[in-house]
Amino acid sequence: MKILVVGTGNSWRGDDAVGLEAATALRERLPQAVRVLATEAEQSSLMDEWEGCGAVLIVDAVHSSAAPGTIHRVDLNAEVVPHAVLKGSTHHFSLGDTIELARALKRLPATALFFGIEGARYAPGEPLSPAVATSVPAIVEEIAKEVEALLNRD
Amino acid sequence: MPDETRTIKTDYLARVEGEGGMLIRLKGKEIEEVKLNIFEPPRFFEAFLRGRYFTEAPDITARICGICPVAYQMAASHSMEKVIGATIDPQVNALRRLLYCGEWIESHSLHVYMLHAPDFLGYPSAIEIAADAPEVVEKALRLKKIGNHIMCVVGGREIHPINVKVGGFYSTPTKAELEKLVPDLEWALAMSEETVKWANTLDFPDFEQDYVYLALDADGAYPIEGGDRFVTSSGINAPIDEFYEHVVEEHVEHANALQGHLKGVGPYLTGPAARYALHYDLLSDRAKAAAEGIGLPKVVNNPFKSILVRSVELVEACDEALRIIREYEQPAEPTVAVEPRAGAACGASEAPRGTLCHRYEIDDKGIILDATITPPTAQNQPQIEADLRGFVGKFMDLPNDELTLRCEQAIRNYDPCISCATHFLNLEIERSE
Repeated sequence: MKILVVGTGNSWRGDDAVGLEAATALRERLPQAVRVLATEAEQSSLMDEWEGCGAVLIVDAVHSSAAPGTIHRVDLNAEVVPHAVLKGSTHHFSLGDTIELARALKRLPATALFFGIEGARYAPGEPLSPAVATSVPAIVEEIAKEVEALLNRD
Repeated sequence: MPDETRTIKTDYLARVEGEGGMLIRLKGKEIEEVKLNIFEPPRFFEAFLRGRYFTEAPDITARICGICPVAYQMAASHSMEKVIGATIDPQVNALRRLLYCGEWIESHSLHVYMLHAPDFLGYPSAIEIAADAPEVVEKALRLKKIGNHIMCVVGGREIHPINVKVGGFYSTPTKAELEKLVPDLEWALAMSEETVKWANTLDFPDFEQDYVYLALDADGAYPIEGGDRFVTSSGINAPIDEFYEHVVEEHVEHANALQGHLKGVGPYLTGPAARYALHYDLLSDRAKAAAEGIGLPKVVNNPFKSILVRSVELVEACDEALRIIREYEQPAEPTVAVEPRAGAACGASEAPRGTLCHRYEIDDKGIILDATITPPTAQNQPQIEADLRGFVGKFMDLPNDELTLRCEQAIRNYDPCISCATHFLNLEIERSE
């Protein structure tokens, strides 16, 4: 199965970089056959990236009321990303928009998982906050296990 | 109730790049307050650039925006090349223009179909359009992807291209590599022409403003990747190095982006409508034919019709990309040597949403002493507020919901880039254990 792992965010905005850092770590951790993409791109193009993939696993920072460092896991084929996600988007075309657009166009892979890491601060130029930095190995481990299970299923 | 206070407010504007909100306060028939709140992080990039080596400016400033990195790379490169007195090979310049066409195609197609069209069609977003008319959205995405692809081939990758440098490129594509883009671009050109006709079927509010337009002057070409001069409809025609003698930036309390004004004039408009009004004659025959085909006048003063002008510029970008590829000859060297020289200069380019001006001062070792970056949205902000004021004045009898939507649309007319966005999701999770 073709698998894509996407880490996204903004490397200049504090905890928003966590998805990128997780992707960088996952690139070392995962078998070479698994494509790992760390991207700060406008996100509607992600649909093209996962075209032809049996599975996509996406990791990004999230902002809800949970404690910093909390890991959220959403099965995108089973759950709709809450609409507030879209409303709060600061993107031209955000990840939430892209996921819902892909759903509408029937372009979500059969397995599509979202991993959100609760951030604490997003100020320009700041490093990851301690709680978020601490959660990176855990998210890497969780995604690596998911990928392993998917590969074993083949 | 003549003194009833009405507040029209949007805390977080969707479908714009960055973080912004809008507040309009009415008392009876009187507009008390109009504010476009921009929470753009203070432009720490300007401070960040001081002390860095001059060749780093294109790559650092490209990070300001995920949607117009080429605009930043070009403005920074032009500025630095002027300071050090570098002369760029004409074919390298042509490649830069091609790269920039890719950015225009990507950005304009995204804005026209995915961000602006929902306002006209009465949909909350492109997602609902995709459910009802997937073929329209698929075509828009294909058009956008073709723009991305140009950026990959010329720029190395689509976002924050890595191939641009002061002096030229790290490497240049062969003619054969560019020619592979032709079939897609021919489709994109036809699709852009279709886009102009489609956009013309939309309904536009009856609203015009008396604009002062500002755009670069690219010495006989439609301004895209740069220009040594800038012109305004108020009569300015000056070297770009005099930009800050005419444009003053002011800090206002409600926004942490600086607002641009033309000295002695006030608010002005930069972007597609300005380029089109000031340089209509320089459009390609195909772009002019597309405009004439829908009866679009040479000056478009209805800001809601910016979607038509943006569509005409899509035709221009596709047609121009094809011309550049036809005439391309791979340059002998991808870059000229760049040696530091003390001095200061302005450089500018036409981002999809308007003129972007950079000014740098460097010392004889090439260290940046001072940097000023004036993005188009900062320049347009006072004009956006003026549009809101004018629009609300004319349409204040509309119910609140509709007026709010129309005001948001009036902001999106400018395709504002309230740049350096965070990408995190505002997530609401409700789960029972």
